[in-house]
Parts: sequence; C-alpha cells; structure tokens
Amino acid sequence: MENLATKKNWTDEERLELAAQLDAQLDEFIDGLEKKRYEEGWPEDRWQEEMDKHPFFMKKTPQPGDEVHPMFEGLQKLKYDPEENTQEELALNYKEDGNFYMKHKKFRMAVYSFTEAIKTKCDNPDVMAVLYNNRSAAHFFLKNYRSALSDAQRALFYKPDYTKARWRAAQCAYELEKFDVCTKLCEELLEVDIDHKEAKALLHKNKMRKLEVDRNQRKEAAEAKRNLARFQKLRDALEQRAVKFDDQPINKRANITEQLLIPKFLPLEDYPVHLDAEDNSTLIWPAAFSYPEFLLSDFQQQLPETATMQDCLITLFAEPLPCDRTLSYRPDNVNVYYENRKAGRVHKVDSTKTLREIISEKGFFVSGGALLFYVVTKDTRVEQEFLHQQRRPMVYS
Amino acid sequence: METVKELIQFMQPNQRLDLKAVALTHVLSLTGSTEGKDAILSLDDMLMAICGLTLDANATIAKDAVLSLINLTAEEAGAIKVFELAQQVQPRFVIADVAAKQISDEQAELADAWSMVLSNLTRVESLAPAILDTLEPTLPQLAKAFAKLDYNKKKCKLHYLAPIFCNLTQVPRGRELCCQPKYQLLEKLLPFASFEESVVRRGGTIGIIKNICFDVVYHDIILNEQDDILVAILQPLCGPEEFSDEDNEKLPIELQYLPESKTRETDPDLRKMLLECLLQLCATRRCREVLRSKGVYEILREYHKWEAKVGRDSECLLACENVVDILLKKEEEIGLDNYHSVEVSAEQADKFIQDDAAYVKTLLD
Repeated sequence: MENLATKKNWTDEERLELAAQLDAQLDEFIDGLEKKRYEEGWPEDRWQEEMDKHPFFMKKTPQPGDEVHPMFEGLQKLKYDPEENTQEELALNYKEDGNFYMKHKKFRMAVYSFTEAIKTKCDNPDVMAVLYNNRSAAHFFLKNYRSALSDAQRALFYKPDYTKARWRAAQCAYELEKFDVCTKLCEELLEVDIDHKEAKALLHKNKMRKLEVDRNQRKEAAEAKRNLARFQKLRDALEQRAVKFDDQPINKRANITEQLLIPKFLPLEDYPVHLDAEDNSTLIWPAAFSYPEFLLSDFQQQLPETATMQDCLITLFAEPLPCDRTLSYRPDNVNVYYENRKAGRVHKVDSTKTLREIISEKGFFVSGGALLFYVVTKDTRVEQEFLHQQRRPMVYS
Repeated sequence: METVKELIQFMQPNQRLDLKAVALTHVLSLTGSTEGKDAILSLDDMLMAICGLTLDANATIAKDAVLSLINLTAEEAGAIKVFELAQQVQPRFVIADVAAKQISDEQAELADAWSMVLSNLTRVESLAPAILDTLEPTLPQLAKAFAKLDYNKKKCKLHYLAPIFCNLTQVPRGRELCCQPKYQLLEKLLPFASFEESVVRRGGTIGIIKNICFDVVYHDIILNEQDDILVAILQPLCGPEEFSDEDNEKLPIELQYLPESKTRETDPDLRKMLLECLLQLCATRRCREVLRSKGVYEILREYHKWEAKVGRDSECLLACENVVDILLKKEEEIGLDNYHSVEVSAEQADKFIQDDAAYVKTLLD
C-alpha cells in the first residue's frame, strides 16, 4: 500500500480502486469462515410456543411449577435484587407492580407489592407517601378500612398536603364510624378547597350518621333503664310474696335473676312471670298442668295470681280433653296436686284458693320458671298410682 | 387635666421602658373612673399614644394599653371617639383590623383582650357596618378560631367572639353573611348556644339567633330541612323528662331520648330570648305548622312545668305561654297568614303591656 501518511491528492480513479480492493478483501475473509447452519434460532414450526416462553413476549405470568426461561430469572434478579438497585429504584419497581395489580383489580397482590416497596425504607418522603397512599387504596377496595385509614394517615405524615390521601382517610373514618376524625379531615379538605363537593357531602352525611348513632344509643339506654325498672318492680313483688324457686338452694337466698324466671317449657318460653301492665301489682304466671293418666300436659300462658284453682280448671276443661273418652275430666271430678321435690312429697290443692295463696304454701316451689300442677280424676286407680309413686327428696350438698 | 397631658410625652414608642410603663399604669387606673375616662377621651394625642402602645414589643405595656382601650370603649361615646380618631390619623390605625389579626393569631397572648375591645366597638350600631366591611374577609378565620376550643395556644378562650358576631348581625349584611351556606358560619356557631362553660358564648350565640329570627327573610332558612337553628333554640329549653316513643319520633333527632343528666339553661334572660325567638317564628302560618310538627308544643309543655317549679322566672313563664297560646290554636281560629300584618294602635299596645305586667305578677305563687 502506498504510504497514507504523506498527504497525497487522490484522484477519483484511485479512490475507486481502493474501495474495490477493500471489498475483495472482505469477501475473501467471509468465504474463509467456517460454513455452518444457523441453529440457534427458533425452529420455524414452534416459533409461537417459543414466543410465549420468552420473558419479553410472554402473555401470561409463569405459574409456580412452570419451567421458566433462564432469561426470566435473570430479569427478575435485575428487577428485585437489592444489590442491583438503589432503594428508591427498588421501591419504584415494586410500586409499578402494585399499580399494575391495582389496574387489574388484584388488590391482595397489590398490598403485597406495596408492602415490599415500603420495606425498602427508601429515603424519599414523596415516594413513601405515594406507596402508603396506594396501599391504602388497595386496602380500601378490600374493605380493610382500619388498615386503609392507618396507611392513609402514614401517607399524610410523609406529605401533609396530600389531598388524595386525606380524602381517602376521611372516607375510611366514616366507614369506621370515627365521626370526629372524619369531620376533622373533611374540614381540612375544605380549608384547602372550599369547593370540594365530595368533602362537603361526606361532612354532612357523617354528621347525620353521628346524630343517628347517638340517638340510637340514647334510645337503647332509655329502654334498658325502663327494663331495669320493670324488672326491679317484678323482683320486689316476688320477694314480697316470698316466692320459692326450685332452682335455688333453700338456705341461701340468692338474687332472683332474669335467667331464673325464663320458663323451661317450650310453649311457655315467651311468657315469663310479669306484673300486669295495667295495674302494675298483679303477678301473671305461666303454668303447666300435667295429666299423669295421659302422659301429656296443658299449658296456660297467662294466669293472674288472683284466679282460683277452680277458675283455672273451668278454663282447662271448657272443652273436653281430646283423649278423655269418658269425659271424666271435669272441674268437680278432679284433684289437683303439686310436687314438693325437695321433700319428695305431693300436696293436694284446695281449689277454692287463689294461685297466690297456693304459691305461698310452705311446700310450693316454682319449677322451671312456671307453676307445675298435676291433675287426676278423683278416687281412681290413676290417682292412687300417682300418689304412691316413688319420690325421693332432693339432697343438696 | 394638665398632668394627664404631660403623660403623653412619656408614652411615645421610643421612650424608655420604665417611663412608658409607669405612665401607662397611671393612665390605666384613670380609665377606671368616669372623670379619668372623659379626660383621656378629650385628648386626641393621648388616645393615639395608647393605640400606638398596644403594638409595643414589651408584653406588659401592650397589655396595659389594650386594657385601657377596653375601658375607654366600654360606652358608646368613647367607642365612637376612639374608632373615628384611629381612622383619621396617619398612618391609619385600623383598629378593627389590628384586633382581627390578633384574634386570628394562635400565638397572641392578648387575643382575649382585643376581642373585648372589638366587642365594645361592634356594639355601637353606627360603627357596626364599617367594622363589618373591614372584617368581612376574615370572618371564616374568626369563625374557625371560635369553633375550635383550643385554637389559641396562649390560653385565650376567645369567648368574646360570640358577642362580636352577635353585634355584627345587627346589620343586615351581617345576617346575610352568617346565613350564607357556602361558609357555613352558622353551623359552626350554633352548637355554642348550649356551651355550659361560658355564659358569654351562650349569650352571644343566642343573640345571633335572635337577630336572625327577628328578620322574617330568614324564617325559611331557619325552618328548612336541616333543623340546625331550631335545635339550637330548643336544646337549652329541653330537660331530662321522658317522652313517649311517638312524641320522641316527632322531635329533631338531636333532641330525641335525652338522658337523665340533661339540664336547662340557667340564665333566665337567655331563656327569655330563646322563647322570643320562638315567638318570632310563629309569625307565619307555614312556620307555625312546621313548629307544631316538630314537637315544639310538647317540649314547651314540659318546660313550663319546670319553669313554674324550679326556674321561677315570671317573665319566662309569660314568654312561654305566649308561644304555646299560638301553637295550640287551630289555624282556622287564627285566620291570619302573617301576624306581622296585624295593626295595633298605640293605646292598644300600652294596654296590652299593662295587662301583661299585671298578669306576670300572678304567675308565681
């Protein structure tokens, strides 16, 4: 070759010659290379499959257990490896993921992503604010209002003028019925922008709901007070009459509770003993009348204590008992007894007495919240069997 | 008089601190007496000196100066004098502005003192419109300061903002601003009609309500869907008595099922004002019907029993009966749409007043 160091004026001819020379040299070189088929590419018939596996072109995320392209792992490492990224980059990467999940309504995954982002503890307060705000949104859509509120408030901590976060916090507070917090947040929003329509509306809705909740509380308190007063009067009436209860030990005078007065018999369940609403001084009792002959019982839900046993019998037999074929069960043809379980005996009832008088007899105990009587036909074998049944006195330890 | 004049030179801003202090202390004690006040009010330069010292860097000086202003503005003549003088001098000392700034300042130690000055000034009807103009832009901020209980960090309670607002509603524009839905001023102020800790706040707020009620234009706003104002009026008159479920349902929600601990307004003047508000609201037929439907009669029934036994103020009893009389009447009996349209001659008016006075005496045993 000529010495190019010396400045020479090239003619066009000489240039063309040189170009041709260089071209020829290149051709020689290429021809000299090993001739091999290109085999590293994708086989033509499977190119679609291969596309789907390539991290850049895949349409579905790989599920656990799938074979992954080695490049995928490499990319993952690049994206998530703390050594490859600064804190902020890492946080933003996770944030991107989170936002992606949000767009596709995968809120739980979004929470996870944002949490990872937050874990980076990156220094940039604006980024942290956005991360908390976004996680708050994810929680909100999952109806985790407590978490959403807490996250929104953290966002405000990093960025006090973050209107979006404040608005979300207000909504959470409303859902949680934290009325004062909601009011405060709405007022802060309105201070910045007096025309924030939603804040105004929420402020109003919140106020109304608070008034409702307060009123309901007051109403419940008033009802509870009324019930308590009513129960107190009932208790006084029972104590005044020295009514005895089966389920109470004899010597220890335990307090009469509402529980004690709930009738155990199903048909009487809704009719515990109570004071007559009109005169407030007559006790109304639930009672069970048992027929040993037929092994079934009649129930009277509301018997005034002023009624005599005779009155009760008349009511009971106003229509004959279905199983009473011989029509023997008539007021004048039956005896009524009650059991004194503690003593293991039965007592005969004087039908001319009022219920109140009967209840006050020494051996009478209210059983299972109700009055329990046994009705048998007079001077029959049924009566005899009933009377001579074995009864053991109850023993208290 | 001469001695007072001599003090002026010691009250200039650039004077020695101890001289200023002594002179001001003397002036302050002068403002405690009528002669002293008159003397000071006649000396323009003295007034200006005092105003100047309110902005002194030394806290005690500033405080004494403001306290002096409070005394000087306590009566109408003094208030007018101080206000107009301040407007005229150069540089202009816009007293309302200074006051508003101090009150709005969370860190101002003299906020309460300034609010008393402003309260005195706004009480004068002739000054109220001008002051309202100056204060208009700051009203939302003042309302915020009033509504937030621990707004001022230097222990100023700002109770006197209530009378200030009340005085401003003497002016139609004041009422207009109060009722404007955008700023929701009224909503912020109303709860204080029942504020137990300060009779000043209660009195001021009830005064605001009264001024609004006396202007028929606002009756519709008062008796709108919201019940805010009606509740503010009724709440101090409600007690712990139980109503039946039916009656409770009629009442506005805040007044339903009130607990045993509920007490009534203790100041009879304030009770009377509230009843006068209700009376004003009975003017038009529509309003009467609204009042009846909200259970006002039931509330007044219980209130009357209490007033007769416990409150024992005969003027309040009369005021209550006046309202109940109207509410109990059927509309056909009243036959009028608007009570304000009835003409009453001067002699009739006098006779009614005399009759009332005699009746009032019989109300309490």
